[in-house]
Amino acid sequence: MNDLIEWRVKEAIGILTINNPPENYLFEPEFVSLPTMKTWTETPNLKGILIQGKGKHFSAGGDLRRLFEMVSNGERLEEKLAAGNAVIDHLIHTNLPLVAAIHGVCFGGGLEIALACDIKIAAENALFATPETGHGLLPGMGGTVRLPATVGKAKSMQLILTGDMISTEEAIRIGLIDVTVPRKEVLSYSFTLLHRMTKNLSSRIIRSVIEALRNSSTLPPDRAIAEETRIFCELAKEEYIRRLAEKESEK
Amino acid sequence: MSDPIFNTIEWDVTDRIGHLVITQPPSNKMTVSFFRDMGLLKEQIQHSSDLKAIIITGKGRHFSSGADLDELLEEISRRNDSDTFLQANYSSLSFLEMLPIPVISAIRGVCLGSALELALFSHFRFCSEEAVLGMPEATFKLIPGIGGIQRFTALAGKAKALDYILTGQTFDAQTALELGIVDAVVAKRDLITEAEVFLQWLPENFSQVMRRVYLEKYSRKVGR
Repeated sequence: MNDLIEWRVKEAIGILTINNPPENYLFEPEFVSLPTMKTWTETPNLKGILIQGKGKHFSAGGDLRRLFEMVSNGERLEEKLAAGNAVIDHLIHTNLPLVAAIHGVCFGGGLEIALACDIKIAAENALFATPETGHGLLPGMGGTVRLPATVGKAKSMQLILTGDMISTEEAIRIGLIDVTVPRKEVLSYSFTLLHRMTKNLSSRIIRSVIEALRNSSTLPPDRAIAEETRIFCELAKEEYIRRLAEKESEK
Repeated sequence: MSDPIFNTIEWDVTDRIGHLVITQPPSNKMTVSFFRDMGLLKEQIQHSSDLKAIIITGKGRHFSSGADLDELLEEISRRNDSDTFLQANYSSLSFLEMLPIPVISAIRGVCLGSALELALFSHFRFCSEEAVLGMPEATFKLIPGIGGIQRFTALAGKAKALDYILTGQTFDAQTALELGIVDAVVAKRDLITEAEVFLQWLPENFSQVMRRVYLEKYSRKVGR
């Protein structure tokens, strides 16, 4: 199952490729096993993660046939979804910048993976949808939570209830994605952005910034601030010692 | 009249408008004394009932280059209560945001790091055409520590915030306007006057919720 997702590291940026062309259906909610994902993200000095789809599309989402098969086999769907969520959660809690490089279709579970990313970059020709309700389901891997956090409740309700497909143009207008670039440049643009943002920083600082940034949207303000203070103090003390050592060695 | 209790700022109230000037030129670095002064000013402002608005500027060419890092790092490392110390620094600036009267930062020259965080605690930010802004903390192996991450993200969105905070790259006035980090770009010689005119124009029953509405109405009025 794991070869349906590829991992490679290029210049401290991890590139996660959904590799099940042509539609890049996600074989299971746990699209990579958590232990595998952990080994990947524990690559020393990793500075960011880019997620893309192989071939023509990002991902058309969950494989419905397979999903209903699981149900009929008596497999515990709840556990499967929880495992999928745990993988996404792990990616988020690496505290590394996550960038989705989207082209072609980005539906359902594919969109839910993209929604977990900090920056979403899409080709001009990309298409977005949450088609689950049309199949008697609802977005089951964080979609009902992260979509409203990204585009607001009103738009989310429309997208989820109708299952309507929207273009990149509309997606950028409603704030679903951040940047649009020509199809051929999606990957290079995304990689360059991640690389440019992180090349002069240590993994430690990057993780600190992302953690503080995430706290600002997940914690109540006073707790986010207390956390920011805590992180700042830790870094300040480390930096102070480093500066002292530098002065010593200059003597 | 400037109040003699302050060492690093001037505080002067004319026509019910409070003028706060950071007076540590040329770069108006924010020192431990500055934060102490701001703490004192906080008490004073919270007890003055007839203040109508506040304008914040830097003396000379610049708003401020931000925290005095050498001093700050030493202070944090020396203290056992560095968390409390930083929280005090935080609330010595954050009270501005909570005030029921409008607070505007008029930004000339550089406005970096903690100085931008100070400006982000004001309700409005006007800057001059040559202003340079930025959050360079990460390049010093630190993070913005006085609420800047939250406010930058709220104004410019997560993707842009991540980019500017990680790279620490500075940006000019026009970019700041496009990002939503500042509300207006004004010629340097007109900056303070324009900020004052704007404050005088705001209604007495100012409400933060109406921030955008005020800005839109005002820009229609001045034809920008």
